Amino acid sequence: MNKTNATSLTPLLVCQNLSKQYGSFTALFPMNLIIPKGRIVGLLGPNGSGKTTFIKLLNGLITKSSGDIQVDGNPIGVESKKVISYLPDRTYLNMSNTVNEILDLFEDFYEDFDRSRALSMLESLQIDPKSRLKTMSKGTKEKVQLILVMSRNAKLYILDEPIAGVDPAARDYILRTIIQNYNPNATVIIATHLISDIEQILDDVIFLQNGQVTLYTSVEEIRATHGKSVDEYFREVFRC
Amino acid sequence: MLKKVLKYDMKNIYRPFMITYGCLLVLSLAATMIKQIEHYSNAILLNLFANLFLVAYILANVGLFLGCIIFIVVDFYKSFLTDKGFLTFTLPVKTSTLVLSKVINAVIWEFISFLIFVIAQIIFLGPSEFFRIIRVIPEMLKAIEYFGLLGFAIEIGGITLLAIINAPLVLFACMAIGQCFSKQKILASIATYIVMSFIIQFVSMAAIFIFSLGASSYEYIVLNSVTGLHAYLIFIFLFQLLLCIIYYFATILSFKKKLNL
Repeated sequence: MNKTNATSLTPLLVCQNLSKQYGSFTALFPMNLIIPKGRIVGLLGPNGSGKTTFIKLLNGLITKSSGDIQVDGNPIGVESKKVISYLPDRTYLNMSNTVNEILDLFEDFYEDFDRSRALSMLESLQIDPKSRLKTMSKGTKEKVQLILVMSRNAKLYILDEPIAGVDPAARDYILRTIIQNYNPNATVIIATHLISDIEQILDDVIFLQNGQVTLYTSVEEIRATHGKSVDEYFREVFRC
Repeated sequence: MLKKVLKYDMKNIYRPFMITYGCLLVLSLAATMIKQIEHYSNAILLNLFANLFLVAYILANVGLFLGCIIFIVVDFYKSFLTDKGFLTFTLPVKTSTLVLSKVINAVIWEFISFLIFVIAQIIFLGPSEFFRIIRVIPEMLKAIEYFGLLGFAIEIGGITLLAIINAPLVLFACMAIGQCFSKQKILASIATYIVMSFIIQFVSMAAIFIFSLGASSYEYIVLNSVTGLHAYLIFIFLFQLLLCIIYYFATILSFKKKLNL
């Protein structure tokens, strides 16, 4: 990815001593993290490592136990939600709605939503905007959600398992969609288990294990230091 | 922003209401026709059927209001506490606006349901019979004024209005508090409702006792102490208002401080 150094150095997401506990269980140990603007970051870790907890905290879907999060200088709230475009790992739309009705909703609530971009992506994936979500396959619903999320000119895109439920051909389209549609000054955080599929688009990776950040480095660094792809290195680090 | 949220809240919930209203109005027409059987037929079986249908019709009227609360509560649960909550809580909207919209939405549907109930009665009773009953209302109002009961009417009206707002709000608060628990969220919501109901009952009973002090019985106040009854009704009004505020802020604070999706 071509980015200026200035863009890359400006912090977009800052976490200070961020932690999350569920009763006596610590899902996320105090975490300090600074993610700059203009990066595509892979959030990687085995099941139960704290990826989804971290993503939910960024989106205000759960409340933190301690610490602080700032997105573009704002704590989690209305202002942060204006600049975060979030794709959850589940279907969160009203199944009885048509795609057009959902586009209306996004247009009404998100100032940065680009309807023409969404319609163009729907057309290229041959999804009829007049059709209802409940008539669509699981994979098509996921594509619709991704289109909605990537049609925003957000500053931070958070994609939780964006390619898990779709066929390999659609995965390529989705990855192209992510690269082509995100604002180069924006940052994309992608949480996934399908590392080999996405590593060609990643700039940086964060390894999470048992609720702790064990590694935050660039993909180039991993390749140069360990002589391995991210997927290979991940398998080595998290070998069962 | 409230207007936008309310627009989508109304849109999300209108289908089950329209079906219920449609069913009730069709049942009203059917009940009107079946009512005639009672007048013109002596056949026992036919009359039994007519009576059973009329009982079912009365139950359907009750069901309208029960359905109204169920639809409102299910909509709240789905919007905030299921996967749809991932969209609701990531919209750039204040939590207070989201909750306020649900409250306004609920009150609007309660009023529309009441209106549909009135229309159903017009169909069932027939316009002439219905308006004969309606004509009594102005006379009742005159009587209320004549006997100096206007104050009571206003107090009871205010209490009724707050009860309409409180009916869904208490359930919203219980669900919002219940979701704070990591496990058995629905059970926790029900437990919260039981505890809240117990507290409200306790305070209401205590109030009756306090306002009855110096009187031999509660009936004594009703019949002989106008001032005492006014004081009691004003207390109930203020108590309902306080509950409204508590439920509203309990819902907002539970989501703001302890959201657990």
